[in-house]
Amino acid sequence: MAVNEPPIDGASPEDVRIGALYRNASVEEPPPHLDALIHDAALRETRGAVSPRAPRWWEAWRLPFAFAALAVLSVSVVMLSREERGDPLTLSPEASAPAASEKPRQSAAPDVPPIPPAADEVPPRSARESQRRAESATARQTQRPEPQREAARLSAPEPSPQAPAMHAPQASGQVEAEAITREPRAFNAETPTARDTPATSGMRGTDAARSGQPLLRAEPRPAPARAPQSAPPSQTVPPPSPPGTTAPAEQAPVETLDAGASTRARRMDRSESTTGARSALALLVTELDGLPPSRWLERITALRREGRREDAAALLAELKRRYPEEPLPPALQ
Amino acid sequence: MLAYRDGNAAALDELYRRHKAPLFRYLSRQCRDAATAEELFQDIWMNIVRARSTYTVAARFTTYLYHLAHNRLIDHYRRRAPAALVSFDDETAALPEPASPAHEQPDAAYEAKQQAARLLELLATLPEAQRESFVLQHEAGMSIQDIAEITGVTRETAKSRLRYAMARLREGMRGWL
Repeated sequence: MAVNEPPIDGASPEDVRIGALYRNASVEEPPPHLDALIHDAALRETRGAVSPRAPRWWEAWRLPFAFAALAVLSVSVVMLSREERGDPLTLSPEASAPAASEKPRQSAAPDVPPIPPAADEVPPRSARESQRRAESATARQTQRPEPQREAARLSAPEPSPQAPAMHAPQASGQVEAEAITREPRAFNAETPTARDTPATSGMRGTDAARSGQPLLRAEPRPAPARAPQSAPPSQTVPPPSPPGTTAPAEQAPVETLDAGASTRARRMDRSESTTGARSALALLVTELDGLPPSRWLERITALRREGRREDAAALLAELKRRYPEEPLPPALQ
Repeated sequence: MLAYRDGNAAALDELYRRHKAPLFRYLSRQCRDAATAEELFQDIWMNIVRARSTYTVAARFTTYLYHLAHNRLIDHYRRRAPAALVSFDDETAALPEPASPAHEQPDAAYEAKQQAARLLELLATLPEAQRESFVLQHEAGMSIQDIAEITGVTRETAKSRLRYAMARLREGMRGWL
């Protein structure tokens, strides 16, 4: 239906004539200036819409920058987590070179979380690996005979109860498990004097720390381990290299020992000296077990004469605990 | 209108060309004042231009346009002095005294002119609601349902208003047609 042609449903002829008459009579139009005004307004409105503001250069690069930042963050997080886990990729000789350059900054970091000292603590993976590498290098150089290894194994302290849990799975090879259980032995074998004198052994790390000098990185030390159990066996024991070509591949990982590892190593030394003292006391007690108190007193006096005053004091304490009524000579009171 | 919303200014020109005269006459009949009709006419089209970006299709554009015009008229009525309030009820006012019948006039052209003047005079005497219904039907070609939607009443009310308006116009034009 067209405009000005109204529906005429049931309209009478009079209504039709009235409609026609109205349409003929109704001829007003809006003035032309209103036409122009509205036309201009409509044009202005659309022009404002079709000429949007040109995007600035940084708006165009916003999305690529966001993706780049995301990628950098992701890579950093992955690398950091791998470093935290002691991932073999980051401990490879190539990757450890920049780590060695960061060593002073890491060792100077004050926020290394303290770890409570424990005698059964397993050394960290980085320290463990470095020790293992040093051990293998030493073994290759000296070609140590098997009996000496056995002697070192006998002098090693009892393996900790956590050690089996920390051993690598069977798939990673027996070499890994052996390497973990061998750690204290290797330390003892290479630093026999330190084991013989627990006091000096305990002082070694603290002296170095007190003097402000960095620890000898090449010296293998047992340290607490927090390494993942799923470490590939190829990374646990470095492949044997011909004698005389050990320096670059083995020195670099050793230098990656951070401040936390050295602190843990120091604590381990201390705990080992305590363990050694305890085992010496246990030997003495076993030796004197069942003997009269007079023999105990003789042994204590002998120990004091030898200068082993700590052992003598410990044995005296044990004597007092077992025989509280026993009168003591004035020298021991 | 969708084309104009999307930036086609020529689309509004076409809409304006199609609806400007009926809308202007609708406003003129309701205001009975040319200056006020022009002002309202401009306001309505400016509102359409400004509402371009938010326009959504809810009805035919004709319905949308006259709905805006109706609301603008209501605002205009409210702003007028209370003494000048118009009546939107269906009461019928007294018909104007008719002039001499057409057959008593000598000239045919003059006769037609007199008939048109008489019709417009009668239309002006109708109540606002009846007049609006008549003008919407004859100017914009609205159906009863459209008129009911625009004026906000039921279909029966719109139909009744239209019937009353036609009856009064027929009565007033008796002897002129």
